[in-house]
Amino acid sequence: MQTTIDASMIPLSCRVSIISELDDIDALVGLYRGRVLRYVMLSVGDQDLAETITQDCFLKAYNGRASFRGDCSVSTWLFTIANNLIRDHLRTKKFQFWRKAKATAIDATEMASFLPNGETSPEARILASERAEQVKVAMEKLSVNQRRMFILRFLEEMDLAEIAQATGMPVNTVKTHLHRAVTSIRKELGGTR
Amino acid sequence: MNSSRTQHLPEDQFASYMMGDAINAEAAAHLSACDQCRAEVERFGVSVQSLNVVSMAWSESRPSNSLRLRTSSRVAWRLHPGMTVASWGFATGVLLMSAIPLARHLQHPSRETAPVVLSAQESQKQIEQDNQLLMAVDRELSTQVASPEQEYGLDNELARKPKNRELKAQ
Repeated sequence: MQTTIDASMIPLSCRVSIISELDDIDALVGLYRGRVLRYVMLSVGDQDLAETITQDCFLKAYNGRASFRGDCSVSTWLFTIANNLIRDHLRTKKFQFWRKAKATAIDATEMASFLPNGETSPEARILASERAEQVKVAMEKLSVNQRRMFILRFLEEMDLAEIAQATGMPVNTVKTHLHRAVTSIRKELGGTR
Repeated sequence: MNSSRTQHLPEDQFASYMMGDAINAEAAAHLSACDQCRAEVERFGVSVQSLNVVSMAWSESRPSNSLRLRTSSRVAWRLHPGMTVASWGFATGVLLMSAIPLARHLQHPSRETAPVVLSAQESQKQIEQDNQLLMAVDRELSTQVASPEQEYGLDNELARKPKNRELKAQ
């Protein structure tokens, strides 16, 4: 069962801390930039464009912080802004050109090489890198909406209601896109059918 | 229909399970019994988790510039004390540089810009001189320069045309 959170249900002390969190743009960037940049990068597939959109997202959030009502988490709010910016960029001719040129698009292998240093064996690292690459390649075959839903659900671990809020889509539409995305990626990963 | 498809977890149930939704009893029973499907579910989860780790590591490796300057530049004129003093100093200097010559000019107007005040007689005389000059120019033009109509002999034709039109109308 899902519960709706109203701004009035959030304690005043929490709201004050959220507002002060938004007042320091560098702290805001430090906390959320990695997640927002990753989301935008995997959605649009272009490094330069992703960094521009991410920067615009934080500037927009900071300039519009007075309008943040606290009825969702800061991250959901940032993803909402990022989604609007992505949608605006998808419509531009400049984006169409970039998508065709793929001049600054990050390669799946290149991204997969960014496995953080852990205590795992070299073999395990190679295997993890290969799996990440497989999913990245499979994701590139999804539609923009399917890809966005997939990232928000499986990488950002947002629930369906949060995804619906961040993307401005009804929950059922989110579910449909997710079902198709999972089915498609399962197929690409060589699933049992 | 493929027999393996009916035996293993169907697409919709697999997707629902991965999304965290409830799956039907039959699918749940199959999943608990089928090693192959469990392995697939696990592989899917591990693969997505690998991308999660890798993509986050990539994202965090990207250099980030401070946005503080960009957000503060709009309000620097009133927030930064050094800028405020410098701005006011510059504005005062510009104001003084333009105000001093203006004040001097208002106190001692130069001859070139001072209004010329003429008496009634002088004014009348000036008007007559101007009229004579204009009439002379007019005379000169009318005697020396033929109008384009005269030059091409059109003045006679133009004079005749209204008559022709009148005749046609009759």
